[in-house]
Amino acid sequence: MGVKQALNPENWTDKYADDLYGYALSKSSSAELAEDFVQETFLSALNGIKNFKGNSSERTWLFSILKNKIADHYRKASTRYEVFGNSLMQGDESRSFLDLFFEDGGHWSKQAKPKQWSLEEGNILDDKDFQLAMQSCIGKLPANWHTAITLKFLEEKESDDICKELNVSPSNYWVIMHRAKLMLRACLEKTWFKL
Amino acid sequence: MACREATLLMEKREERKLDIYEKLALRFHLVICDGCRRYNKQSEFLNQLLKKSSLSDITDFSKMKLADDAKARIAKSVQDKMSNM
Repeated sequence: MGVKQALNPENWTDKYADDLYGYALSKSSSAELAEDFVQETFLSALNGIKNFKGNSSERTWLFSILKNKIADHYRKASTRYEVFGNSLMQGDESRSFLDLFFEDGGHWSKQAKPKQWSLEEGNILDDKDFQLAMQSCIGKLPANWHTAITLKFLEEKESDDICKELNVSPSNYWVIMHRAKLMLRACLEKTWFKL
Repeated sequence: MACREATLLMEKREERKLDIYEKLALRFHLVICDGCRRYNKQSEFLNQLLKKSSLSDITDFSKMKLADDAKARIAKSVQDKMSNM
């Protein structure tokens, strides 16, 4: 029989705020949002204090609450998003989204045709500012595209598992990755390469 | 084949082997389309970058600390809530 863990809410901020914040920041790329996540985590934990069974550590319990908060946020958030200054709704983007990138014949529209990037190979990968620009562009993706990218690259899941998690078919998955990539590329071209 | 389909094939290629028709169509399209040649390169670059950032970002972010004033705000909200319980 293990020793039951106790909770000490008055110490939470000192003991866990930095770690929770770092995790939230890696998932949300916004300092403000990450701070809110930490605060909400502690407040919901206080609300649910009776649900704490003492089987896991305080730390593990708080992290699980934080993860749920972040997942909820992305489920609800960004039903509206922006591409080339056009505001689109998630869900009905099928035609209008691609129309911003491609003309009727399927060739690049003027605003979307990729420009030459001046890539100093190697260095950019270690550039903190570039990493942040990238995170911020990923943060602008609509929720399910954001999830697809996160699962594939951050959690290194196989596409079959991602399809299951998002409840989409493989061909739908390519469509999601295609759109996420189009948007991410365009965002970086504008915000980082300033073309 | 147009750019819309060519760029979709580039995503498909990440997960499946393209069949011979898809392969040839994509190769031919890349010969004639400079926009897609750039996209192809940049897309590969983004894939590498995303893969790499999965490792470096998490360690970087985990070292980031919450500002003292933010901590004070959070500690106070926890205190307030506890005194109302």
